[in-house]
Amino acid sequence: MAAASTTYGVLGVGALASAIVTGLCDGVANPPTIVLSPRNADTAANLAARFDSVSVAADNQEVVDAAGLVIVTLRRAHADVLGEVRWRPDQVVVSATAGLPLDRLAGLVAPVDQVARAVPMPAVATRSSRTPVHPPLAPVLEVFELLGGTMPIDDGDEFEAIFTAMGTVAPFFEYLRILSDFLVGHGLPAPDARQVVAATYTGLLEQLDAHESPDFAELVKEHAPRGGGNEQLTALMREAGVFGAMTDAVEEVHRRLTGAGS
Amino acid sequence: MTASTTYGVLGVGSIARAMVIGLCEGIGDPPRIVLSPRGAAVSAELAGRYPTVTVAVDNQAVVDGSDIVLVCLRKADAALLGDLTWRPEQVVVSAVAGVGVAQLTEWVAPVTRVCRSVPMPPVADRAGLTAVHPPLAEARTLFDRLGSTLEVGDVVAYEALSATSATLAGFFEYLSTQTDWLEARGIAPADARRYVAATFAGALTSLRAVDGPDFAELAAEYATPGGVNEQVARDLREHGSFDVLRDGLDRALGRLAT
Repeated sequence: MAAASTTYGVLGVGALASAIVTGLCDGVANPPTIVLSPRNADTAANLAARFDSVSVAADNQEVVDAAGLVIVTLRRAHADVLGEVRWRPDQVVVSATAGLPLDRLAGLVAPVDQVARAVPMPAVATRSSRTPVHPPLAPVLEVFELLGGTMPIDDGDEFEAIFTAMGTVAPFFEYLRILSDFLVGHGLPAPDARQVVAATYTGLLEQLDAHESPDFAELVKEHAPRGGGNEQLTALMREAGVFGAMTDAVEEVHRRLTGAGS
Repeated sequence: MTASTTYGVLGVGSIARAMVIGLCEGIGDPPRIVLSPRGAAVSAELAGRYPTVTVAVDNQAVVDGSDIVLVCLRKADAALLGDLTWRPEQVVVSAVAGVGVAQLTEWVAPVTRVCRSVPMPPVADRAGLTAVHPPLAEARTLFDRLGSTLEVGDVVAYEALSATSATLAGFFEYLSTQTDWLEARGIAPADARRYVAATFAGALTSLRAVDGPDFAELAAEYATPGGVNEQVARDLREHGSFDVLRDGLDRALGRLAT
C-alpha cells in the first residue's frame, strides 16, 4: 500500500511520537493521515492543531480500528495495554518501546503477524537521521524512509546491541553540558560557551557524513597529533577510565535489556 | 582589510589548508596568499587550485611578502618565529595551541598587533566560529570572512576554550569504544561503524538545528523515560564518570595553559 494512503496510528504520544508525527507532516506536501491516542492530552492536541491530517482518538481501540500501521511509542510500563486492544491480522505494528522484545510484542498484538521494532531518534522530526528497523518489513521501512532513512537489520541480537549502543547519545549531550559549564566556570559568558561547544562538535558532521563507515580509531589519531592537547586530554580520560566506564555502562544496560546473566 | 592585503601562512597543515580554501574557493576577488614551502604537497595543491596563492622559497620570504601573517606552526616549531625579521606595521594571527601572547610578541618584535586564535575545519566552508584573543580588528575581519568570530578578552576564558577543541579526539575515542563493543557482540566492523556514525550524525544534526542549544535539554530529549539513554546516563553518573571528565578537563587546562 502506498504510504500516502496508509493511515498511521500512534499509541503513546510523548516526545518521540511528537518527533515522528512532525517528521511525517511538517512541510510535507501530501502528509499521511495520523490518529493519536488521547492519554497525553496536551501533546496530542498540539499535534492535531499543527497538522491538518492529524487527529486525536477517543481511546486506544479507536486508534487501532482506524490504522493500517500502528506505531507504538508507549513506555514499557504501559505496554501491556496493547493486549487489551482488538487487532486485525492485516495490520502492521512497529514498536519503539525499550525493553519490549519482538516475541512479547507479537504476543500482545495477536493476530497481527507483521511486527517489527525500530529505534527512531528525535532527529526524525527534521527527517535527518536513519532509523534501525528489525526485521526489515517493507511497510515499516516505508514509513521510516519518509523520516530520513532506515538501517534494516535482519538479526535480532544485532538489533538489540545497536539499540543499546544508541543509549550513548544522551551521555554525549551531558558531556557537552559539562564542557559548556567548564567554560563558564573559567569566565566565558554562557551563550558564548554553548555556541563554541556546539560549533566545535557540529563541525564534525562532515566527517561523520563523508564516509559510509568511518574508521574512528583513525579519526582519533587524525585529531590527536603527537604532543598536542587532544593527545594529552584523551590519554587523561583513558587513564581515568572514562571509556572503560562507558563500555561497562552499555554492557550493564544490555544485560538488563536482554535478561542475560545476572 | 583592503583589497590589496596579502596574507602569509607559516606552517601549511590541515587548518591552514582549510583557511586558504575558505578565503579562496568560489570567491570572485580572493586575497593574495603566500605559503611557506615546507608542507610541500599541500602548498603545491593550493597554489595549483587558486591563482592568487603562491609558494615562497622560505619562511622569511613569506614574512617579507605579507601584511598579515597567519602562524599555523606546531608548538615545537614555533620558536622559529624569533629567527625571522618582522616589520612594525605587520599583524600576526597565531593558531598555535599553547603559546601565549607575551611569548609570541617577543618572537615577532617589533610587531605589536598580535593575537591567538582557534580556527576549526568548518572555516573551509566559511562556516567556522573562531575564537580570538585578545580582540584584534584584523583578526575579526579575517575570521568573519570564514564564518564568524568570537572575541575573548580574558586569557583564562580563552585558554579554557582551547581545551574544548582538545576534546575532539576523545569524542572519536568514545565512538571507537562503541564500535569495539558492537564488534565484540558479533557485528561486522563496517556495519558497527555505520550504525555508530549514523547515530551520532543524527545527534549532531539535532545540535545544529538549535541556535545556542541547551545541552541539558538535548540530553533530556534523547533520554526517553525508561529507555536506554536514561539507563546508560544513570550508570555513568553513578560511577562518577562525568566527574572524571570534569577533573580531566581541569588537569588538561593546567597543562595547556601558558
